[in-house]
Amino acid sequence: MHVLRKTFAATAAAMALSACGPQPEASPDETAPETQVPAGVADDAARAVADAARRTPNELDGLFAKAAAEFNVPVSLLKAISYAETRWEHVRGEEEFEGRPAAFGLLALRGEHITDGATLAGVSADAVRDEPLANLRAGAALLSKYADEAGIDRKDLGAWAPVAVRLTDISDPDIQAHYIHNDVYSVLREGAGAFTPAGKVAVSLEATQVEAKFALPKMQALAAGPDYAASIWRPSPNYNARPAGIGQQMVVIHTCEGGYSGCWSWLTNSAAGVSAHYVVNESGTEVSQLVRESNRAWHVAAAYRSSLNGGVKSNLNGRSTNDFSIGIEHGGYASSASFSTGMINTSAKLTCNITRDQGIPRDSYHIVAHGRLQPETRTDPGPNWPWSTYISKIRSECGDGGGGTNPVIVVDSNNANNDSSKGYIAVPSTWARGTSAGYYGNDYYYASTQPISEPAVFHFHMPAAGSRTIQAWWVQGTNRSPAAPFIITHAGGNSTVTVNQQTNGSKWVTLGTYNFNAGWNKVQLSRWATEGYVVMADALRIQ
Amino acid sequence: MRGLERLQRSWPWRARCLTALAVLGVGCSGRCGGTSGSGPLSKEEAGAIPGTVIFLSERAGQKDVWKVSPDGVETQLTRGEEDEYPGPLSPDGKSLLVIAATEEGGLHRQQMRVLPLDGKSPAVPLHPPRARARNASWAPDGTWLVAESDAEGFSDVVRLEPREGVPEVRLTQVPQGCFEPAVSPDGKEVAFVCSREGDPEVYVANADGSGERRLTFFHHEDRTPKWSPDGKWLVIISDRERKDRLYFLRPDGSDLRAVSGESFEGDEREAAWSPDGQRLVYVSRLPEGLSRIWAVSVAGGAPVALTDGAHRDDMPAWSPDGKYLAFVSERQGDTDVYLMRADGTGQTRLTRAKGADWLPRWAPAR
Repeated sequence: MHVLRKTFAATAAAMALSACGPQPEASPDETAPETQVPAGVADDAARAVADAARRTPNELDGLFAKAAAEFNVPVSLLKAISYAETRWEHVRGEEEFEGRPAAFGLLALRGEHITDGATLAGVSADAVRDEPLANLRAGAALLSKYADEAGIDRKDLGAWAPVAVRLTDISDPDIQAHYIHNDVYSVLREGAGAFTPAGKVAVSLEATQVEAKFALPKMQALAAGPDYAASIWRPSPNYNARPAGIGQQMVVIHTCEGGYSGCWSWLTNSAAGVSAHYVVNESGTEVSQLVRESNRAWHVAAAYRSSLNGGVKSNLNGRSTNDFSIGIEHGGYASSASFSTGMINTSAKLTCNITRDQGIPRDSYHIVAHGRLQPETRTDPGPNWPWSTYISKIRSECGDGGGGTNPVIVVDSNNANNDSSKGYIAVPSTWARGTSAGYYGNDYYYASTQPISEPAVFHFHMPAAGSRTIQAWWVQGTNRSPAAPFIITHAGGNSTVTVNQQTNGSKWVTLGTYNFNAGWNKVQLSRWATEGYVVMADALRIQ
Repeated sequence: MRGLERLQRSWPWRARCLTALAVLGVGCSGRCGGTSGSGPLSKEEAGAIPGTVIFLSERAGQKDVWKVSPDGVETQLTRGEEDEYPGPLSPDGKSLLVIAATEEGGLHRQQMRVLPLDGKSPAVPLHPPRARARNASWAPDGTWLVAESDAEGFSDVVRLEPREGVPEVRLTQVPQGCFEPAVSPDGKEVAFVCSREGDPEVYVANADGSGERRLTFFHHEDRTPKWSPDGKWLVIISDRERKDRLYFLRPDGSDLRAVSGESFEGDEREAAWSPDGQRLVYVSRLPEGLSRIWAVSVAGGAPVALTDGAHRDDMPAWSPDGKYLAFVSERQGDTDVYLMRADGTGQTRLTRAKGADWLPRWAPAR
């Protein structure tokens, strides 16, 4: 199946998942918990398709063809360069690193490439920045000029590699090799497609068998980053020691304002005088570590000026954010209409790892956009960065109450707060909702004690069998049952634990530690206790 | 079955389809107010609005504080080379808290200053410049303020006086940081956020920092507390549903409920209480960098959209008489301050200079 058809198929599948059509629905009682589709998966898939389409609002194949034909440049090459640089988005970049001009348009042209390209194409520099066709024509004109200078055979797609690299600002030959083989020619070999929000083809790039005529990247074994095993270690010379006595307290999120290869190229060049600890690529398939977390990278504000980075001030009032922060750059642009789900997921995994190693709280006060260092901001880091999703994913990845690798599951009495793939509560309609202070989450459920079971049931999912400690939360009060019966169903059968809900309220109280089977498990709070009281189901913690 | 999340998943498929469309920014879930069927405010109506709008302008390159009367007369209030951000007005309306941000020796520095609005007196710096000085809130008698400070830690809540040379007093000492303090309308308490539990939770303490009590318990973010003018409610932001939502909450921690009820449209932010405390306006985030302003009654009921969601409209601020809102819109390309009636009608562009104008605050006097 060729790539465009494959993309079409994926889109159609996602659209179907988005549930805009009649689908069989089962009541909770009829659905075995094991067969549940986690809520939100279908919405996520539909959203990912819609997000991606927002980056390419218009059909662009015609513009690529026109610009390529006019300057006798392979249209597939022009598309591949644009894909590598901007994922076919017409960008309006910002100056992220001092000394590196902002990038513009489908080809992310910068600085002299804009002015020279404008001259060759007979348009104004502003047009090259603002208009997709002018941007493509300027880039194609430059490629054509470089092709003449190199004297290549224009019919040989592989021969264009050294020409394509001249459109970037990458100077290191090995990084050039990465850019050519892993970015530009890899998409030429694999093909790609993009759609408009209306479902029309925005850009189609058919896969072709082609080898770049360009030196291969050095065959050195790619070492893992020293602090993050899922990264590639590409050490930057642009760092120094952190001042003594200040720990790492923040993670600062940046966008490269350019493509991934050009980004880590710039940040590992000693002449640039800037760096970051990590760079994540556009699709989330690769992370580079450039500076050890224990060292001070130069990623924030005026600290970009290399002359200022030698002097370290250690008093609290004289400190720079670089002293106590970890910087992550992301391939792409703050102005982007969307960020790929893959990049957000990969970045969330990385940030979870950093915060776990450094003891940084996982919240929006400690994981901040570059712009949040100012007293107020309107772009955070770019209007379309999915901030609440990102923080939630970091927390989930780290197992903060929602599974993850070191799982703690909290099942709240309000199902809107639960990730239903990990836990939920089922409460009979005879239970009432209460909101007296001290509850976990939004509220709690209570019911009078009677000789009927009618339990509130906390369900939680175990990805594998194992031992877990069960804790319960309630709001204490004099009318609560002194012997509220929690029935824990575990691998060895049922165990009943009674607790006095007149005391120990508004904190986690341990019920016991049990072995649980893989799959769905449950803890019930029964009403069957001495009459004249109420039992309270507020939240359950499994760890 | 009560409160069961899966009930939502058994909606008819049409409802789910509408949900999917809402995700794409189509339709509005409450009654749609907004631009349709009403022109801009007349000169006469605008001219009769009491008060003046203070805002941040980038027209000179750096950020400065300006003011504009509702009929469009603009005055520049600060003109330093540094960036100046408008903070809250003093309770008597005679001074403005300004945060000046600059770079000194390569380091980012912020300083809070009290700027008299008489146009004559100089701004009074409240502390030496430092990396974090933000989110100030005035006591109702105007004799003290609270703010975030990193003078002695990562971020703590401190109490300051609006005079030069008075040492600030730390109200919190939390290594993970405390943030976003707000003084209660009676001046007796301060609400704020601390991350000591590993995630932000909302607390209230006495005005001297003693008697701290925790209001929220959940393993996600609870933050940005704002008191209602009558002191009976707080509004906070929480991502407990894995999306940012605004919640009403009693100052004793009881009666939490989602501001938008069943009418959530997108991540919610920038809540602003009406001067009479009966209504709340807020902003929902839409795809493509757009946003929409909503109003909801504290007594209950579905929120009403005040803008149409086709643009980026945000940062709503109530006029002192509660009859108008200033807000920021990018509907005509540039970022500018606009006015509208509190029901969403009469949307009128107020600033026109090239360069972003944003962060509107009302001052009672012209």
